[in-house]
Amino acid sequence: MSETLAKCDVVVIGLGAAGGLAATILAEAGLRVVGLEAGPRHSPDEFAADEVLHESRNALGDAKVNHEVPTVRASADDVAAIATATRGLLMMNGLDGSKVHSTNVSWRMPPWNFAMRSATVKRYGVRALPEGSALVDWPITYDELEPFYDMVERRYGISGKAGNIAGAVQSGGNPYEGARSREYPLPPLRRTGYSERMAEAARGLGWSPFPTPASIRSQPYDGRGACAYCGSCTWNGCRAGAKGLPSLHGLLEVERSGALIVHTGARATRIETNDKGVATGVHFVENGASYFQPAGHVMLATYTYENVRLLLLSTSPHFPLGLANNSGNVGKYFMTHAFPMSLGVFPGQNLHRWGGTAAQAAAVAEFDADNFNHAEAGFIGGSVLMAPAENKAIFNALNTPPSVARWGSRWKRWLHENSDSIGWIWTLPDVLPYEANFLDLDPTYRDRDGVPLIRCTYRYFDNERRQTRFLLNRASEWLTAAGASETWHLPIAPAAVSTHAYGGTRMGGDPENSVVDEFGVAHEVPNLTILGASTFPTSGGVNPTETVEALAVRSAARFIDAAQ
Amino acid sequence: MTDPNDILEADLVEILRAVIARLIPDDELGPGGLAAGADRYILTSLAGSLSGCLPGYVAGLRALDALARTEFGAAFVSLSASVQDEALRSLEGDAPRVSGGEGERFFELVREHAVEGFLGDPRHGGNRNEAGWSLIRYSPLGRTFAAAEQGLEHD
Repeated sequence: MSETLAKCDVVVIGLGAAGGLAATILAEAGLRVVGLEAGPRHSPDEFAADEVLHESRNALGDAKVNHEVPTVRASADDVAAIATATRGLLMMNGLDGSKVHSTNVSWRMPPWNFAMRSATVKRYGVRALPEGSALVDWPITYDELEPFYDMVERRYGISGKAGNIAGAVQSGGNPYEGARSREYPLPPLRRTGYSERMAEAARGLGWSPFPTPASIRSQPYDGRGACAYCGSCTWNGCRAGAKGLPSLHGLLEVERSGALIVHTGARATRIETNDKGVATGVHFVENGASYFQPAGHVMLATYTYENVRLLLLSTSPHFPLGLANNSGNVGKYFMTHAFPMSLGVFPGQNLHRWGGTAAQAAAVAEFDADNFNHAEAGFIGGSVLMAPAENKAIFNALNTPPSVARWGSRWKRWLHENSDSIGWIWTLPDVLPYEANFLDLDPTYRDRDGVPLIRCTYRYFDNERRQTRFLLNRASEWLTAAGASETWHLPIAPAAVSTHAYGGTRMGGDPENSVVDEFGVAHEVPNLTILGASTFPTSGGVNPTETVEALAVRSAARFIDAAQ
Repeated sequence: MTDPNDILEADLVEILRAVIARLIPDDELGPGGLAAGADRYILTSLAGSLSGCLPGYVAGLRALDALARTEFGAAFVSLSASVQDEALRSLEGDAPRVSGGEGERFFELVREHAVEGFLGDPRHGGNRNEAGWSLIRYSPLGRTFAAAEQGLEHD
């Protein structure tokens, strides 16, 4: 038997970066909001500096994601198997979602990415569009989203250095960024010896380095503390409470006021609709008991895989292929960032990268978006390059250069001599949407509750391979210019399971090739809003969270306007 | 939770220990994987958070031993260190000799777990006396780092 709870205005599924923020803003506006979060409320004593616990075992994902790792295959002709290479690639569960354990690098997406198709055609001609790709422009522009980026940055106290204020390029910031209305609320995170060395080398190459922006407070802000540079930031929660999280900036206040009711350990199982195809609420399970939460409006804000999964599981006579899927578009145009890295060794130079956060990075944007001429490049798109702090003992031991044995005494000696002399560069190659890359329900594998897992059908095409190779070569040049005697890189391969997963519920103006409109409202279900990177039409070449947040704020603001 | 002492049959434990001793040897730089307790770490993990890997270990260790007997003439644990290395190398890389890539997958799994047992937090049963961290001159984190400590001039 299922207990029916009191009806609310909005039920939000998933209280992470998108849903936690949207729920807070809706409740602050006086709406009655219920939030369903599958994970617990984590406490700082779970955030030990422990690479095994977090990177290797993803302990913070034990409530849900660790038990429903998607299956993966390269093409529709293959049989999928559960993804195995997931070290450091899984989301987690809990209030505030994966922003708890993210490095919280916090970019705005460049204006070019919002118009990637039309800008590519305009500059390079229609033949520059890779075969098989399904590239589209976003239904909104950077300028339309700018005020919402600004709201996110003010709420959380984002740390960074502006590169372009109202069209005027600012010294020391990212000269390629879109025009912003004002400076960041907080200065950048502290520089490190490594980031200074890398910035100097970048300038020598004629590039314009700048500090990576982060949703980590460099100074106290809004009554909350600043980063302690502890060296256990990525894939771990913050013991200093310095990350910009919903629960540190408003969520607990609206919960205390009663405007927001939070259920933790609450797993949504189905979105219910009536015979007119209107959403009526959400079924969920909490502590083994079943509940139905009726609501005037449903906001689905889990994560890319689960957003798609819950829609496909919520079939009904009106939606036999899954909720909001009479068009057949749910699951299509799936994309992920892999995290290809170049590494370099600086013999005899201790880089002191054990401490700090990977968000303490020198970055360059010369090779992102269309910031360089792609006419001879053989691909479109690009990525920022980031040279971070926060070395990892196990990671480095598993990723020694090809010139060194991978085990045995020679390997051991190399680690002994070089472990603190290894520098990295991260890059996030921009992956295009393709008809061939999609999500659906796996016909074989199920989670421990018997529910089908998500299946990823996903591969790289020439555009991704060429772009990744190009970016890794630029990263190696950068490391060499900074004094690395040898550079190497991680394999060039897609990562279907990723903390940067996009698409599946694409945003667009045309219901023929998208699932939601520019506000995240499903074309087929007027009172269902979908939040998160599953709505991204393209992936871009930067970390997605701030764009996810800006879109969530915009969706919430639109809903509030319509409700008043 | 299953007792880590009972998670693998005794002969498989001996093969696993021999593998770890070659992956991370005791040498002039100090203790290797066995002295650091990487075997203990793996057995404890197979009885807990890595229980899903147990079938892969059983199959992989048996396959390695079969390879040692057919290609190198003796049980893996009876081979000399250099021949054990050769047997392990035959699992790696582009031309794994155990069918279907299973040998390579097992090799990568045991290598990753041995490294975790050598360089992971000692609370998980490995890295005894912080032997792995001493090798790479890593000190436990979880404290505040001052600006000077992240500078290149710091020693």
